[in-house]
Amino acid sequence: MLRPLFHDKRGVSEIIASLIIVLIVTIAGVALYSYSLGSLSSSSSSFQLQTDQREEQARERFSIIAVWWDAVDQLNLTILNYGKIELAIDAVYIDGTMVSISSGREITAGTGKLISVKFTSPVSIQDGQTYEIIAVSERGSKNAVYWKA
Amino acid sequence: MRFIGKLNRDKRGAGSIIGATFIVLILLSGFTFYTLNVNTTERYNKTLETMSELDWNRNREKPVIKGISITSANKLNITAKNEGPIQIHLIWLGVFNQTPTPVTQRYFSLDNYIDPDETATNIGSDITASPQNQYLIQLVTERGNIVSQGYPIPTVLTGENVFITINGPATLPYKTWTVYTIRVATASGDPAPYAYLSIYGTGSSVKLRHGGGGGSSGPLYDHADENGVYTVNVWSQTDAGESFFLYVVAGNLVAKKSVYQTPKP
Repeated sequence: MLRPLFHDKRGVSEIIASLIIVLIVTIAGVALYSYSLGSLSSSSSSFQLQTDQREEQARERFSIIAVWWDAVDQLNLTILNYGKIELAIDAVYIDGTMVSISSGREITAGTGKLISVKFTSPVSIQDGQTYEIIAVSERGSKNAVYWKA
Repeated sequence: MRFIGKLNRDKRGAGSIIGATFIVLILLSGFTFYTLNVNTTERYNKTLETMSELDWNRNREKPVIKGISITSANKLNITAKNEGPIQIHLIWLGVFNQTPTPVTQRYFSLDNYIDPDETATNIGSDITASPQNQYLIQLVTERGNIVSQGYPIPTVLTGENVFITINGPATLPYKTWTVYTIRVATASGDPAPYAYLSIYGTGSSVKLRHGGGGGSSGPLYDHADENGVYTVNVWSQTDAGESFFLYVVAGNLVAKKSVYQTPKP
């Protein structure tokens, strides 16, 4: 049964066989290349995104330049953006306790502009006492002041 | 036969071309990604460099408020000097009226450039203020530096000669708030208005206060009134009685008064 097959000169011609092999190798090569390109591209995009975020954060600079107190529990922070990029304040902490911001949250301020952040202090404010106030931007930068009531 | 031989050569050629194409593509892709990543890193490093320069320049800025006055037309007149080595750009003027409770805080936009060693006058000349009020004036630079000064500026500064008198009883009753009056005068004998004072009692249980409240055992920092007068309440409660000194510092002068606190009855 096998003998005639080995001695059979008929079958797939060399040209067709070569073409098929070339085609298979090409397709495999293209598939492998596409996969590698996709992985590299994804990795590169992720790196670029991370670097962009780090760069934006590096360009941020802000400072709490004044704290206003109504002598009860209302506070108003005046924050100066002196960085090279616009920013918005996302959270404020007083003595480690997060406050509920009534106005000024997520309001974008350009370079050289002031942001007014108002909130009711969750911590009892007493005259003459010192409090740590931390403002956090949307990009995660922080600025802390020690404010004496 | 010749035809087949030609085909064989072509086959080898096709394989080489495909291989070469892939190698070129791989090299090109690799180079592209490398260039992209290098560019991104370079841009990030450049940003860090720029921000470091900003921080460096920020530390070199030295604005100083040399004078604050209120004109007869009730307008502010601030004099500021750049004592640093680089140009300063003033962008905000904060005017905090400290007379009412709570204080009021207002910010006004500025656009003043001051060169090194230059003195700028008439800053805030379009802002209305009352000479009867006490203000805290704040200048804010573009690089984020702040310089503050109270109004009226005390006429007695550290290093100036002043005379201090402390009037009050030499004997302090046990657990009784007792008033001592401090007067500050300049070297010429004129009252020193708003002179800054540091007051301290050396006794083991001495408390000081100005006005009401429970008082404080630490030093009291305050300023005299427009006539250079300040009243301080003194308290002591050492059961066995105690002698101590009441120290008052203004300018470069220290005055002391010996006080005896009577024992617990």
